[in-house]
Formats: sequence, structure tokens, C-alpha cells
Amino acid sequence: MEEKCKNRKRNDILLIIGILLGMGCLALLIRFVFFQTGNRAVVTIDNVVVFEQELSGDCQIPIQTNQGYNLFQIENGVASVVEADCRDQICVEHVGISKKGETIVCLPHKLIVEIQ
Amino acid sequence: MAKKVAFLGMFSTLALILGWLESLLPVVPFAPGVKIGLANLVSLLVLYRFGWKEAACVNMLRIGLSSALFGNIALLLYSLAGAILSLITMCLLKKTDKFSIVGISVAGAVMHNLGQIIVAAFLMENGVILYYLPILAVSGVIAGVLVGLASAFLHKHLPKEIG
Repeated sequence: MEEKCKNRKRNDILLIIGILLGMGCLALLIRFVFFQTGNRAVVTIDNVVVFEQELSGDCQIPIQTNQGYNLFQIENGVASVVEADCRDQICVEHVGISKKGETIVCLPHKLIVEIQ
Repeated sequence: MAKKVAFLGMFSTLALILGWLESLLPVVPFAPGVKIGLANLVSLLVLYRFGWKEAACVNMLRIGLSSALFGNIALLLYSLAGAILSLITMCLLKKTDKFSIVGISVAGAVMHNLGQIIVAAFLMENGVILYYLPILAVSGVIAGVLVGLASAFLHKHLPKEIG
């Protein structure tokens, strides 16, 4: 019984280390293989590209569709969503993005901001 | 039998309340979608005290009720995918008898995140959201350990009559 308990604990720890290592590798892979500083933000709604904007210039663009309203912003090379009338506000809470492949997603409005 | 139904009903209510309590917590600014997964505490307890069928019932009830009360179809899909994947993983791992409740809780939490991310990728028809998995999985490990420890404590100290 004692032995079994010990074994389980060891297996638990191995499992946790395994998951963390796997995710660490995945994160590194994403960071260094896929993520490079991008040069433009592409905004899509329902998988249709609405507009593309260079990261080099500051701007604020309101996006009003029948899905809802989002205020898109580029400031100092970082793209973000600063206002939205969606219920969860996850896109607004999300930190700004500037690296290739990074995204801000507003699920209720099917809006995706992606850096390319 | 009647006693069992009563206990399962109680556990379903508890899961529903824990899920609701958790929805009151503020969104983590740097990592939206990160949650503790308090309701998994109930899943684990029911899984250990009753069995996988009962755990599945309690989970389905919780998801059905919370989606009807607070959510919508999208939420239902996310919850279902996460819960089914997580419950299957936890049952299988428990069957192997090689992990404690903490390890099973961690595996369940990470699979829950994976299930939700897969649904999100399908719903948005966009794979880039998969990049978010490492953050969610690491938070899942931490939350899984905490919930697992709490479940272990409850499993040890709850009266034997339950289950």
C-alpha cells in the first residue's frame, strides 16, 4: 500500500514534468520558429479580411459590423483592441500584439486581429 | 438507489454553484480564458466515490444547466468538448491505477484546455489560436494540482456514506 502510494506520487510528478516539458518545447517552437516581429496587422471578421494595417504608423480604426463594434488601435508598433461592445471583453483585456502569428480574438464578434 | 440520486443531485448543484462562483472572478489580464476549474473538484469526487457513469451524468447536468442559465450554444460546445475529453482522460488514467487524484486532476485540466482550444479553432476556422495552448496548459497544470489536492483532502475526509 505504502509502495503503491509512493509510485503514484512519482508518476504524478513525472506526468506533470512531461506536460510542462512538452508545452515548453511547443512554446519555444512557436516563439522561435513561427514568431518574428511582424509588419502588419490583418483584421478578419468571420474569416473575411476587413482591412490590413501597417504597424509602423499609429492609428485608431472603429470596426462596426452587424456582428458588433470593436475599436482597433495601433500605437508604437503594437496592435490592440481598445473598445468593444461584446459581452466578455476578452479582446479588450488582451495585451497588445506585435509578433508574427500573434492574435487577438473576439469570439462573440468572430473578429480576429492577426500579425503577419 | 434513492440515496445515490439525492447525493448526485447535490453534487450537480455544487458543481453548478462552483462554476457560477468562478464566473464571478475577474478575467486574468495577460491570459484570458485561464480558469481554476473548481467544478472539476466535483467531477473528481464523484468519479472516485461513485464511478465514471455517475461523473458523466453530473457533468452533463452541470453543463446543460449552466449553459441554459448563463450561456449560449457556443458556451455549450466549449464546455462539452472540454468536459468530455477531460472526463475520458481521467477515467482511463484512473483505470490504470498508476496515478493519484492529483495527477488525474492535472491531466483532466490540461485535456479540458485542449478540448476548448480545438473547438475554438474549429468555430473560428483558424488554427492560430492553437498557439495559445502552452499558456493555457501551464495554467491548467497549476490549477489541476490545486484542485487535485483539494479533492484528495475531501475524498479522505468526507463521510463514507457518500458514495
